[in-house]
Amino acid sequence: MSTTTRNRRRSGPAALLGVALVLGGAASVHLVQRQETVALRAERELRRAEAAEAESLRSENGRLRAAQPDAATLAGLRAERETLARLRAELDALERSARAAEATGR
Amino acid sequence: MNEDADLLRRYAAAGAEDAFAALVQRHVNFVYACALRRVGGDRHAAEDVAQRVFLALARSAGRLAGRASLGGWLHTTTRNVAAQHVRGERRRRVRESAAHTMNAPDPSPAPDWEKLGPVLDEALDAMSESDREAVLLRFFQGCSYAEVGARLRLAENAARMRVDRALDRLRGALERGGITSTAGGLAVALAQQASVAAPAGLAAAATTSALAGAGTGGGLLAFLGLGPVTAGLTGVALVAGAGLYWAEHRAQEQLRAEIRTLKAAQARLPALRDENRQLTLAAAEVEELRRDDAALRALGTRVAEVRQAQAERTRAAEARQMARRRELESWAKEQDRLAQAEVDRMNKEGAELVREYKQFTAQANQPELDASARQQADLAAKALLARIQAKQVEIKSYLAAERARLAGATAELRGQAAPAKGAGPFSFRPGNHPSGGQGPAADPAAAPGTNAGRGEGRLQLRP
Repeated sequence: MSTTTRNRRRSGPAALLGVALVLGGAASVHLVQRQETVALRAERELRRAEAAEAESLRSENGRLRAAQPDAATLAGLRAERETLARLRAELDALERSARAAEATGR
Repeated sequence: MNEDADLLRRYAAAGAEDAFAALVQRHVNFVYACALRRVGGDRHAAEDVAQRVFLALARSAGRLAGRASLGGWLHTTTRNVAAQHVRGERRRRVRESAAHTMNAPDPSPAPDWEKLGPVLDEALDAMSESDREAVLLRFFQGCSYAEVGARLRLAENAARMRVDRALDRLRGALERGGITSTAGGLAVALAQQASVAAPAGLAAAATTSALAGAGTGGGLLAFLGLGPVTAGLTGVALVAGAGLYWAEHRAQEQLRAEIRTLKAAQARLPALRDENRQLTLAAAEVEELRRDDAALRALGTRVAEVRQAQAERTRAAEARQMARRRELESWAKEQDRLAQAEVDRMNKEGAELVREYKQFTAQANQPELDASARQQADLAAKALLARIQAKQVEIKSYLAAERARLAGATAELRGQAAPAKGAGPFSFRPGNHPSGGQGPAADPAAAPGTNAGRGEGRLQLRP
């Protein structure tokens, strides 16, 4: 048996251990890196969903702004609401009066 | 004390470059000679091989520090490195060198070096380590028997015996390979190899190269003692791992850049949400206002209808009230007329009673009449007075009843109180009030026929 062969046999386990350590370290680094990549992808999906929401909000806000009446129309509508309340009260009074008149036969 | 081991330990422990330089100086000739043999005499190739051998020695210093002698390891490593270098190409070359006389030169002829050189190393490799060390020390490194004994931890005679036996075994091995020689001739041929000198500067170059190369990354694999295949596979795996790492790193950088871009684009997201909330509320308010507007139109129509109906009812009520007023006024006039006629009739009856009363009173006071006649007249006057008083009471009661009836009608006309059913003017029955009776007033001073009852009998209706 040659010296080289004997030396290799002596250093075989150490070599395998060294290779295993190197490969294990590389695998650990890769695993950590993959986990980080997965987290980054998840965050990217979240950001994409938020971006889609923002785009949808922009579109909807534009539609709502377009459908909003001008200030004068809005003021008129609010005034009509007050008129409506007043008319309801008046109608109620008129109907009460009519009922009272019918009850008294006049 | 083993000098090689000491020098190696110093270099391995403290990186002593002077110790390594001494090692190189000690073995450079031997290594160079061995390399020169393996590469077929190419000096430049032999120098390269020698430098690589000492590089390997520097990298393996820690592992080799415990060895008693480095000759065997240097020889094996030189062969391997030379084999890698020439890849089977070997040229035979005869070198002439001055013979190194030994203690007892053998007159027998030395073997042909051109035949011996190529197979000598294989024959040396086939020997045991102790025999190979003995031969290398004695003939290749030129050690005396005493020095060989010191290296191999043997006495000088024992060293001589081991060298002789090893030389004999080497000769036997060469004979089996077709090279015949005596032990003395073989010793002379081997001794000639010890005289091969390395080129000047090779030791320094090998030292510098080894010390510089020992610090590189290749030292790790050498330290681990990996074989070429294992080292190659490990290297491939490491390169693949580095490639994976780099690709993953690039992918992560791209992801981070995209996330940064998306984050920057979403800075207004909260503001957009608030704006959307406000706009939604405003739209709901507008929707409600529009519904109110529609309800307002419907309610306006309804209110107009109710107002019209109310107006019609009011007009009808006023018409009814007017008709009622006219009816009441007509009734009141008729009642006034009837009451006046009744009062006139009662006044007339009262006046008649008063006249008769005055007549009987005058008869009762006439002296020319007899007493019975005056008494009868007096009785009649008293009876008439009672009837007059009764008539006055009747007239007062009638007037009070008429006043009450007219007051009720007046109140109805003013709308202050509605008349009780059946008690209105249409229920008036003339037969209820007195239709007869006459007589003077109870008080002769207020004689009937004067103002008694006349003033009171006048009924006035004020609607």
